[in-house]
Amino acid sequence: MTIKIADLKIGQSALVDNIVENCDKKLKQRLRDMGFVSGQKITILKKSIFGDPIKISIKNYEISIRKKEADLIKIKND
Amino acid sequence: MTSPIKIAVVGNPNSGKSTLINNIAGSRLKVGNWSGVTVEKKEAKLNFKNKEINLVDLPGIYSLSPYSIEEKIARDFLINEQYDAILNVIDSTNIERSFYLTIQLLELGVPIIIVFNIYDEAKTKGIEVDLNIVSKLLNVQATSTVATKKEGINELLNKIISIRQDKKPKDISYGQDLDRVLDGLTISGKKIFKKFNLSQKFIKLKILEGSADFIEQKDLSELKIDDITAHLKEFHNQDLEEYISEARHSLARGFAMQITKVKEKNDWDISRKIDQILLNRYLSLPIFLMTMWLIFKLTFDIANPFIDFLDGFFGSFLAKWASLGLNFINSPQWFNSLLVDGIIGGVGFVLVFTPVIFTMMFFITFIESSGYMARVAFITDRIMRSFGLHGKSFVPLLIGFGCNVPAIYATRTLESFKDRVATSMVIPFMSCGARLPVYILFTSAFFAQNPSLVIWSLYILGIIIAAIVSVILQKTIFKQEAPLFVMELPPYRLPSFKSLMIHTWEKGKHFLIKAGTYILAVSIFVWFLLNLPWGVEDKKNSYLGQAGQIVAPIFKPLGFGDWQSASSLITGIVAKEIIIGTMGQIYASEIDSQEDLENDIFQDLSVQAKNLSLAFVNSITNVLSTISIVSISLEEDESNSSLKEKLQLFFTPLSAFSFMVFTLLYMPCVVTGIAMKQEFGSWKWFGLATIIGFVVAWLLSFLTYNIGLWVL
Repeated sequence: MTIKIADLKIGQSALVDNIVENCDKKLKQRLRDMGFVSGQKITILKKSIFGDPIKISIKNYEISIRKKEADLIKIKND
Repeated sequence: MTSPIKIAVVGNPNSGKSTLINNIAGSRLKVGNWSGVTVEKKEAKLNFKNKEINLVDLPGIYSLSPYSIEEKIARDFLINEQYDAILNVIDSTNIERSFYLTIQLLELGVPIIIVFNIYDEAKTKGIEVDLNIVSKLLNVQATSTVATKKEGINELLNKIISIRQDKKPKDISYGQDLDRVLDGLTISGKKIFKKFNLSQKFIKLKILEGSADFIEQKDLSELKIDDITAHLKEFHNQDLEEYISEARHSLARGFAMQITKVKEKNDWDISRKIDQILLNRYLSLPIFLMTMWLIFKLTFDIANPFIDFLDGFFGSFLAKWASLGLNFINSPQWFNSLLVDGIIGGVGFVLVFTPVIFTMMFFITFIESSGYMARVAFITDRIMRSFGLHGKSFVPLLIGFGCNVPAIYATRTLESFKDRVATSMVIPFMSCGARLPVYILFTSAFFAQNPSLVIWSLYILGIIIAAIVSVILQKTIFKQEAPLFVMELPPYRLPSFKSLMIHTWEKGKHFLIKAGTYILAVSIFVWFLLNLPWGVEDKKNSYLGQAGQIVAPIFKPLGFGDWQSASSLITGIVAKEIIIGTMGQIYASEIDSQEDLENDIFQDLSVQAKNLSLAFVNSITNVLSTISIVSISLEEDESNSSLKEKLQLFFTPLSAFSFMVFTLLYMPCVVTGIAMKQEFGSWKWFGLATIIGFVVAWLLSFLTYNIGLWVL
């Protein structure tokens, strides 16, 4: 079973593995431009009301990402 | 005489780029639009040491693979336009991330000046950049600035004026494998390269990434890229795009490490601490609502004394002396009336509200540039989504409270067309500054004990209606999947006063332009409608009065079936502040002038000066009293008292409230409609918004009035 970003607890970290195959091409490019490439470390900082969206720290800056989009990013344990 | 040095200013969003430009250019900054679209285009022409410099500010971007319209504009400019160099503004607190874009700019093969901005903050964090290494390593110019404190600007200008002697930046290796593939394209892509004035490397990489949408498909298919890249795919078991993106990321990381010295690791992150509270799961929403409330309260507390001042200035001073002056030169009575009742009355009535608009815009600019606006999107996204909207829709909607027109333009931050239109359809329900004059007039006439609460309830009503309408639209016309929401949460930064003022002005000037053009034209038009047929005595028999009488029955069930209200609502189609302008004109003839016409002008001027200083004092007192929650704002207001007395004859508090509800909802103003047409290419969206608005307004006012009658 693979873990998802949304399943991580606040304060937990993981490494980006890849972006799922069937992801829209432009979105894939955007996610990569934002730093979601293999081996990149991410940390969960906050979750908004109802646990969605999620605030993640990546490459020393912070982004907000929806659960649904976070699910497109495969991660592995740090 | 040499041609001006043209510089394209490029950087990530939140790199402090716009503050830097504002500080370099100052008043020479010209804000316009990119041709064909309404994305803001900032340009500045300046002289430094007898050299002409032309700065073009491109929208903030993360990469050269465009995602939104803004990003496409920036990329297309870099590809298609002629310019001497790129000014790459970098957030020094996060060099690795910023360099991902820099690496791509280097691909273009154009001279580059790298500006390490926000350098003071970087230093506090223990980060230092070796500028010499940067320029040697990449063959570029490098300098550091603190835009907010104007540090390093001269240094930067010196680099700009000598940029023409510069060589091209260094061609960076992307690793053996990729370099070999790039070489492989040299011959087969020859035909394509000829068509562009760009570095081959950039074009090659875009082809490989599959984001070369600026090249004709037919040319691309001739290339047989798959054959060239087959080995790379096989060997690395990766998409080519991914491989290139990773190569850039690791180059960026490598350079960042080479050029910076981290003296002492400083982990203190103030933004994260602030977010512990502001984004706290339970506190975030209450804090946000409180902030909004405070902003509205402060806006009125600060602006109201100035409204009173302007009201007195136009109403008693300007009108009186214009009329005296015209009498003195024996101008005809009708012209006198056109100028005093029509123009000064109509436009003046609207200009009176300038203080509110600008104060509101000031606060909105503040939360925008401090970094809180992005948090607002984070906090509200889940809720907005249940209405089929987007966290990012929140920002345009919020701007809509200031003015719907810039709000329509602000939907550009949303990536998909559907989202933009869906947001724009509900923006008109956001009670804009133009509706405020109507509320202020009516609440001070009918709800003087509790004006803030009444006005607040109207704002809330607008929001609720927007939510309901949005849900219905999502279920009917906008059936599509929810779009994307990857968004940066920039560090909190205290915006400089200067850039706050500049942006406040840019937003608020729409209102002044409107007053000077549409409202002026309509005021004159309304005056004629009110005074034709020629020599009409009773306003009721004027053209406008007649039109009002025809329409009035529609409003009867809503509690305001008189022709005066109907006529005002007709003219309010152009812009809602005109409603009271028209009322002013209609009732003006019925209000006797009780002015003492014998004062001398110097005495009057000194009274005005005294009133202005009084306005400052009251404004400050109001703000101070906000802190102790004692409001003295609207109650003591004695302005327009004659118009108010008139209104009290025609309205009950209930019908007044019903009238305000109708005003809030009935349709987007024509100027907003024009913005919609510009943005979405068709009048049909304005038409739709108008129909929805009118139906909703009628129903809601009907319910308000009749339930009110029944309950009270």
